[in-house]
Amino acid sequence: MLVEIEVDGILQRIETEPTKRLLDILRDDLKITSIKEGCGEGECGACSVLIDGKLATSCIVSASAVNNKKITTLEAVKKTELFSIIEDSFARFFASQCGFCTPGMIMATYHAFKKLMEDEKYKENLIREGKVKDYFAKSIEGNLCRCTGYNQIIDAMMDIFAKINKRNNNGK
Amino acid sequence: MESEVYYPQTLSELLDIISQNKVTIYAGGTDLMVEKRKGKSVPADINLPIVHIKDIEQLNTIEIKDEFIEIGACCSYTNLLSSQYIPDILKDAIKTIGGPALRNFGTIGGNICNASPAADCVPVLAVLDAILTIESKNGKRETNLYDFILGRKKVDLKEGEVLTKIKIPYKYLENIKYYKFEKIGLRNAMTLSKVSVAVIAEKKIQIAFGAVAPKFVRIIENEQILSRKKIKFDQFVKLYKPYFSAIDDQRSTKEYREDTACMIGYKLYIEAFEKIKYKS
Repeated sequence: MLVEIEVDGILQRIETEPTKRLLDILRDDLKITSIKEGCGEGECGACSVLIDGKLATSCIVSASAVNNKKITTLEAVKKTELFSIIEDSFARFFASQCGFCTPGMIMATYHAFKKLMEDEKYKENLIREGKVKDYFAKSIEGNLCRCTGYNQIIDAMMDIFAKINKRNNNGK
Repeated sequence: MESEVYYPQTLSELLDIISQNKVTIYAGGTDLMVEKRKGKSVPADINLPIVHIKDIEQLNTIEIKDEFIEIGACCSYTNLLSSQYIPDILKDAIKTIGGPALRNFGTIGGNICNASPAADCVPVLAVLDAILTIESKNGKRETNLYDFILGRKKVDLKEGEVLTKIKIPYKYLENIKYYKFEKIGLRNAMTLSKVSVAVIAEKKIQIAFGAVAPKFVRIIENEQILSRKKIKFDQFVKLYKPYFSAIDDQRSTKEYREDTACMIGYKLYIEAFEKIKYKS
């Protein structure tokens, strides 16, 4: 079948089997190799992308399921302002060791911050209840890091959170 | 072989398609795609034409109607978590399913129709007396979970039929005195159940177990005995163990599953009993 998908803002028409994995389309057909294959069963998060803005593990999504949908990969996220903050904090807090899970972790981090930015009320609730760290830990619960660098990643997320808040406050 | 793909926009289009063709229904795809990769696709029908139903609006609603909370079968876990109508015990179970990415796509209808013995929504829906609406071109029927789930990976869906709604009566929810969902897995996040237990208590204590038999275990006769007076652990084991027939697999052993189910079940039973005993 012919599948039409918008990948990082570019419309792609791809002739494919309906059940081919989105992961294989992105890596093999479109050569976007920041998307890693880990478990292949949707349990490790290394292949995370956004589908219509929602975090997804591309190894368990079929080509036909994303027909006419928008895919965002790390390649597009890299060009955002939010990414430059994420990158800086990940580096400072040694949140990347072997690096294999990192693209997926960044996608999950990006997705988590997007949600906070869109829902100010939700964010304020988290702060009031002292659950910000808990929220970040839960937002990467679908991503495995075999170097077990979770604490560093969560610390980096707290740092990003502080930076964004500081910048917002200065802007006010 | 190239297979066909359908994208029905409405429920009636879907019913037309499945009345005329043998198809594989694809909702979130989170179980289907894993099974396909392992080559042990139990419906084994992923080579059939695929019907994508996730985007059908009528299957994505959550509303209160008459005495029921009506949940569209294609509601994703993320949608359910953000809805004010969904009972907390069901949310507690959903929070333990996968991670954010999986919850964005996995659906409640898929959790039921995939009929995994370890499905986490199922014991909760069982204690809540959920009713399922099944539709086909010829009409509509309603059934309960016990009749619908026939066994491991087997459900009572005839050709041309599809699960459209899950209805939770809210008679218990108004006066609920106790509810808890507990699950044992290998780790706290992103894990499949070795054993799960759901308990609610209003006037009567209702208990259901997951992953200890080919289908969930809820024994209505036992619930009368449990609610009348506080029973001892030995007696609890005698009441439930005969109904367990867990398996050994990569996640756990039969013995561990059955013993743990009894222990967690009893612990929650005592907690629930303490809550209702003064009021009855």
